[in-house]
Amino acid sequence: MNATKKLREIGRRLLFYLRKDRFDRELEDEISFHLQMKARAQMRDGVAPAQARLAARRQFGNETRLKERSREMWSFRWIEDIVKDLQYTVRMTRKSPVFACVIILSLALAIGANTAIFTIVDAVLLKTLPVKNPNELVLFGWSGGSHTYVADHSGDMANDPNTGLTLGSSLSFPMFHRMLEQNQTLTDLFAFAPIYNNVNLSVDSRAEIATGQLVSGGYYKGLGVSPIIGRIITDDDDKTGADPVAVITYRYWKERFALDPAILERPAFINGLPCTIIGVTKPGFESPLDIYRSADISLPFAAEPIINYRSSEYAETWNQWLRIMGRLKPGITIEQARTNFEPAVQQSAMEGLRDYLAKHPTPEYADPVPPNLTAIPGSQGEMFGRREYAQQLYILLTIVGLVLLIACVNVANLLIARSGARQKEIAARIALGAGRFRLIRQLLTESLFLALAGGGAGFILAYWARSLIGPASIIQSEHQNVDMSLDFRVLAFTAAASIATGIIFGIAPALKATSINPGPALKESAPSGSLGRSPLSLAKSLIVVQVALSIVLLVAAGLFLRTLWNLQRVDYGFDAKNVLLFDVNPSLNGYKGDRLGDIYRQISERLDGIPGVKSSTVSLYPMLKGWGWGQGVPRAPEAKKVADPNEQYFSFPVRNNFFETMHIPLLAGREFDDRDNLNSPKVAIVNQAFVRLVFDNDVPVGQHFEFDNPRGRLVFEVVGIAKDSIYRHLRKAPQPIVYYPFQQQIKELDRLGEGMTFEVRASGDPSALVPAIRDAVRSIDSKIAILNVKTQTQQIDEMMSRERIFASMTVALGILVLILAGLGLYGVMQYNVTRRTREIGIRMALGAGTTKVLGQVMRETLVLVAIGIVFGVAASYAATRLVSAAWIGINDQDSLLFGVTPHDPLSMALATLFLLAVAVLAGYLPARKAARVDPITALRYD
Amino acid sequence: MLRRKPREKDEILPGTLEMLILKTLSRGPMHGYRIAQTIQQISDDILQVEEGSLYPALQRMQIKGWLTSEWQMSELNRKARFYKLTRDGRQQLEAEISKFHRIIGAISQVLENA
Repeated sequence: MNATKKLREIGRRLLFYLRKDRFDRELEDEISFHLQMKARAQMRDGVAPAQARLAARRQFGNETRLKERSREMWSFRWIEDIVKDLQYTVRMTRKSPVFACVIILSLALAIGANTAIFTIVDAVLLKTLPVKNPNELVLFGWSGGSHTYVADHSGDMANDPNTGLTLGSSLSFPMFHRMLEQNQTLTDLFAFAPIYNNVNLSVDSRAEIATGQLVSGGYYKGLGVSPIIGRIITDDDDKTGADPVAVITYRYWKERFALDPAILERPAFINGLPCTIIGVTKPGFESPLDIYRSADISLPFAAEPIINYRSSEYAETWNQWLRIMGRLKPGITIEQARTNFEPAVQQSAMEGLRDYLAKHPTPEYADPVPPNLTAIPGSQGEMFGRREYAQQLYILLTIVGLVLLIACVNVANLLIARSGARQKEIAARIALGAGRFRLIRQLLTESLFLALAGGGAGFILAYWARSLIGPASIIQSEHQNVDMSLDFRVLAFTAAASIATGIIFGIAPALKATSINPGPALKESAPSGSLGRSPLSLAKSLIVVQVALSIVLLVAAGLFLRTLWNLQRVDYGFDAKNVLLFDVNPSLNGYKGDRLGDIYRQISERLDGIPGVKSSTVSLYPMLKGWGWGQGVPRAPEAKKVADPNEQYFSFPVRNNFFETMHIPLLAGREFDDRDNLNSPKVAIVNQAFVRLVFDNDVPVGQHFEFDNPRGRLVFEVVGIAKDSIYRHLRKAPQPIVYYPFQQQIKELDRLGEGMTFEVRASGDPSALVPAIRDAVRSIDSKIAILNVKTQTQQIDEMMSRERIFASMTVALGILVLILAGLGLYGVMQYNVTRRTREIGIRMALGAGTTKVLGQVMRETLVLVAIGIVFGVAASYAATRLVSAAWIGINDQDSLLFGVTPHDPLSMALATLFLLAVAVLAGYLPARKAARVDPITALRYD
Repeated sequence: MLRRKPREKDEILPGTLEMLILKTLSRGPMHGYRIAQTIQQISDDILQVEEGSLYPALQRMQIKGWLTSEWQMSELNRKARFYKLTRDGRQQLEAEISKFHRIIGAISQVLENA
C-alpha cells in the first residue's frame, strides 16, 4: 500500500480516538436497526412480535463481542499496549522508589560520563565546519619521503604510520598563485595561515593580544561564511595598496567587546598601525585551522608586510607557510582536483628549491625531489591535531564504556534479585493466560523506562559537567578551536546508549523471571524467592563478571594515579615555587634592534623595584611549556669527539640573572654579566647534557663551539656550565641547552619576533603581584600588552593536564564502580539469604551457631569476589598489553604511563584490596541477617 | 408464508467475506442488514453472513478507505447506516476477484491432475 493511502488510514484511525463516544452510539444504533429488520422478517413469516424480537436477538449472536471486535478494528493495538505497559511501570516504580532511584542514579552517572566523553569525541573528531556544504571542501598539503626537501616550513608535520612518509600542512605563495592559474576543478580556491606570534589589537587605547590569521580574498566566499554585522574580506581587500581591514569572530566580539554594535566605527590599531574592523562573522564559526589554534581576527594577506615587523614571509619563494583549501565543482572528485594541481605545485617547488640552493648551497641536497601534493576532504578543516588526539579520546571512550557495562551488569543483578520478590505476581499473570512474550515485553518496558530516565538525567549531568571535562584538559593549548556545543549526534548517542543499556540489563532478568512454572510458585507454602537454582546462579555469574570488569577499571585508575604522582615528583632542576610568568612581545609594537633590548631592560628594572619581588628575570620561553628553539649540533674544534649529527640542542636566550633567579646551580665558570654585550665576544653557558653531547665529559669552560647560519659564521665561548634541568617536557631526560645572554641575541630576537617571557620570583604569593606588574609595564608603554599571566606551578600543571584528567576520571569512576559492586553484592547476597531462610532455619534448629552461619555466608560472598578478582587481574593484564601494543607514540606522547609498567603489581594489589574491603562490607549485612534468623519463624512460613 | 426450512449452510471461506461485501455494494449503497440478506439470497442460503463477522469487516473496510458510510432514511422510517463503494473500493474489488479466480484455478488444477 503506498504512502498516501497509509497516511490516510492512520488519519482515519486517529479520528476514531476523537469520536469514541459517537462511534459507540452509532454502532448501537446500527445493531438495533439490524435487529429490527430481523424481527420484521420474522413477523412477515407469521411470528408474533415479541417472539420475533427474541428470536432475532438470539440469532444475532454475541453483541458485546461484536462491539469489542468492531472497536478493535480501529485502535492502534500496539500503542495501547505500550501505554498500558507504561502505566504499569510507573505504578511499580512508585511502589519501590528507593530501588528505582538507586538504579536511575547509577545509570545517570554511567551514561552521563559516556555522553561527556562523546561530546569531546564529537567536537574533535566528528563535527564538520559550520560552513556551506562542508563535504564539498578539499584540503591540500604535501607528502614526501627521505629525498624530498622542503627548505622552510611553517606548519604542522607528522609521520604517516601507514606509508612512512612525512606529511606537511603548508604550501608556498608561488604554489598558490600557480594553482589559481591552473584551476579547472574547483569553484573556489583560497588560502589562510595563522599568525604565530599573535597580534596586538588596540581599540579605544586598550591593547590586548589576540590570535590571528591571514586569509586570501576568496576565503570567506569559498567557505560560504556570512557576516552578522558589516562585511567580509573580499578580493579587493587582498590587493597591494588596499587599506588594511580585519574581520573578527563572533566569539571574540562577545568576549572582548561585549557585542558592542559600534565596533565597526571604533578606530583600531593592529601592531600599532591603523586598521578598520569591517565585520563580524556569524556565531559558531571560528576557522578551519587546527583544534589548538583559534583565530580571533582575520586579515588579508596583503596586510602582512605592513603588520609584520619582522621580515615578510612573502620575500622568499621557498617559504611554505600557507594552508590551501578549495571547493570542488559538482561531479569532480578529490583525486581529480589533486592531479589538476600537482604538476604546477611541484614545478613551483622546484623553482623555490633552486632559488634557495642558489643562496644557501647545501651539498647534501644536490638532487632534491619535490614534495607530492596531497588532497583530503576538508569538511573538518585541518586534521593534524585531531589525529594526534584521536587515540587518547578512544581510550577515554573505552574506559567510560567499560563503566557503563559494569553499571548494566549491576542493574541486571539488582533486577534479578528483585524479581524473586515479584515471583508470585508473575506466576499469577502467567496462570491467568498472559503470554510469555507479553510479560517479557512488560518487563523490558520497565527496564527501558529506567534506562531512559537514567539517560535523560545523565545527559543533563553531562551538560553541567561540560566545563570540567572540556577539551581544555586534554588538548594542551591556550587558544582552542573546538566547538563543544551539544548537537544532534550527542543526543542520538545518549539515546542509543540508554536504549542499548536498557535492553542489555533488562533482557536476562526478564527471560529468567518469566520462565517459571506457575503452579508451584503460586502455592501458599512456596517460599518467596524459590525460583529454582537458575536465577541465583545467573546472578552469581554476573557478580563475577562485574567484579572482574571493576578490577580492570580500578587497575587502570591505579596506573594513571601513579603516573600523575610520578610526574609531579619529577625534579625539574630549578625552583618552580612562587614564580610568576608573563609574556610580552614588544616587536608587535614596532620595537626593533637597540630599542628592543632597551625595552626589555626597562621592564626588568621596573619589575625589580616592585615591593614583594625577590628577583625577576627573562627567558625566551617559559620553562616547561613544551616550546623550544631547536638547532642541529654545532662544531666544537677543541672537543675530542664529534657529536652525533642526528641530535639537536635548544637555544635559550636569557637575562644575566636567570640562573640566580630560577635557582639553577652553576657547576663551573661564571654567570652572564654586564661585560657581555653586543660589542664583546659572544658567550654562552651550556648545561651538562650539552657538554655530554658535544664535549664528552670535559669541563669545557673557555672552549668554543661554532656554527654557520645565513648571516655568517658564529663562534661562542663557553663561560659556564649549568646543572641539568628539565626544560621542555616532563617525561624526557634533560636535553642539551645553550643559554645566551639575550642582549647579544637581539638580532635573532628581532627575526623571531616572538617576544620573551618574564619570570618574577615573589617573596610571598606570586599572584598578588599581578596588578603591580601590569601597572609597571603600562607605565613604560601603555600600548604593550602582556599575556599568559600565570604562575610557574600553573604552567607545569598545564603540562600534566592530560594525565590529570585521566587520573581524576578513572579514580572518580573507580569510586562509582566500587559503590556499584557493593550494591550488587549486597543485593544478590540478600536475595540469596532470603531464598534460603528455611534452610538456614533448619540448620540453626539442628544446632549450627550464629557465628557458623555468618561465616558461611561471608565465605560465599568472598569466594565469588575472589573468582572475579582472578578473572579481573587476567583481563587487565591482557587489556594493558593490547593497549601498549596498539599505542602509536606521537610527538612526546610515547606512552600514557610514566614511571609504571602496565603490569604494575602495586596497582593490582590496591585494586584487589579495595574491592575486597567493599565485598566484606557489602557481604556483612546479609550475613548478619542470616545469623539472626529465628528457626521457628523460618520453619513456620515466610 | 411458508417457513423456509433451514438448509445446510457452509461457512464463508476465510478472506472472501470482504470481497463478497464489495461485490454486493457494487450494485449500490446498502445498509448492513441488506448486505447480509443479499449475499444470503443470491447464494441460495448457502452463504450465511454472521453479524459478528459482518460489522467488524465493515469497520475494517472503512478504515482502509474502500467504503464510506452515511446515515439515511430507511424502509423502517428511521435512519440507518448505508455503506457505499469508493473508487479505491472498486479497484480493490477487481484485484480481489482476479486473485480469487487465480487461486481457484490453481486449486482446481491440482485437484484434477495431482
